[in-house]
Amino acid sequence: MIQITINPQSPIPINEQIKERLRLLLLAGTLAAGDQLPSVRQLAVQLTVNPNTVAKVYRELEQEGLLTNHPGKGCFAAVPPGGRRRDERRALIRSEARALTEKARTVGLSVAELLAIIQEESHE
Amino acid sequence: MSDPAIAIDRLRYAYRPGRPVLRDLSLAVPAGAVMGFLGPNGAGKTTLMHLLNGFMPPDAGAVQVLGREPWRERVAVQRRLAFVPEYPPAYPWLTVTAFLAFYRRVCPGWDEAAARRRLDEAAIPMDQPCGGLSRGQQGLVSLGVALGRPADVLLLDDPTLGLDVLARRRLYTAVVEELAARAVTILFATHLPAEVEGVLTHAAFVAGGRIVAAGALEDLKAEAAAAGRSAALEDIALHHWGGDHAA
Repeated sequence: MIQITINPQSPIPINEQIKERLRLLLLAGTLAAGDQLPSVRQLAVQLTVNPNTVAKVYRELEQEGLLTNHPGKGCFAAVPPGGRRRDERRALIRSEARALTEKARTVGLSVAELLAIIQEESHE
Repeated sequence: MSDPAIAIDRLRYAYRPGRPVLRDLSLAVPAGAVMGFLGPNGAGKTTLMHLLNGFMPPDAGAVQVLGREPWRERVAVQRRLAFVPEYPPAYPWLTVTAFLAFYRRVCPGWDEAAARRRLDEAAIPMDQPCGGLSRGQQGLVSLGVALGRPADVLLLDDPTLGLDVLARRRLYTAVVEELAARAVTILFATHLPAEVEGVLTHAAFVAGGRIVAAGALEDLKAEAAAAGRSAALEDIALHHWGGDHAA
């Protein structure tokens, strides 16, 4: 079972939440090339979402070249392990970093303090 | 655009003269939509469900389900409609087995095997009187039986009311699997928007017997965000329910 959680309180639409999470799993290589994704029905049941929403997310990720759909067999991760372009991986982390910086600011932490926390965490 | 599966036009209904529960309520549910019918307790959700079933005629205005008036063409409408009521599924003294036998007689084309499979999965004791089942088990019997019908429209009247977490989970799973299996239009009445949000394509907010906002979920969310409000469905609901909508 792949790890995806949905936050119903979030202003981000549910389809976007699922897509972002899957994209992260695919780009980070957690889902390696050739890995089979859960079927539309399985993921819809797991997340309690409309199956059409999952099908749409899969179609969009297929268009982005992140997965391939073999009718009758299912969807498979298309990313070669570690083979995503570096700038794409950077872009992925950049959006997370922007959100984190924003959050740090609202609780009154400086960028230096945020960097120190990241450093501490990565040494653990 | 095809015709809406459910079309309601300036609908009025009062149980007692001068005390309307529904006032000039208009709503269109597109074919294939899963629409949340979201209102606080007492907003008139159950009354609308009963009018859609043709249990009573409207005082004024029009109700159409799949192009037919439920009150005038009740048999034709009921044939294509499945309803999960908020109250217990059967006479309390009927056992589940006897209820299934009753259902078999009154509902031609009903998929009894599918219904039995769902009740099996939920470990419903078949020889117990319906009235002796827990609230959650009763809800699952209602839903299991309704989903066995070859219906084009499914009406759910606050089906999670009084259900524990496990029973709710089973209920949502059954609804999601039904959606994955075939094309069906669903009107899902509930007072808990956050729980159903993932399943919905559309939402209608009802307060004071009127629709105060309705539309595709993404449009409602975009509208809230553009107005600088939270786009979480629960917050949108609170915003719409909060106003003074009494006549």
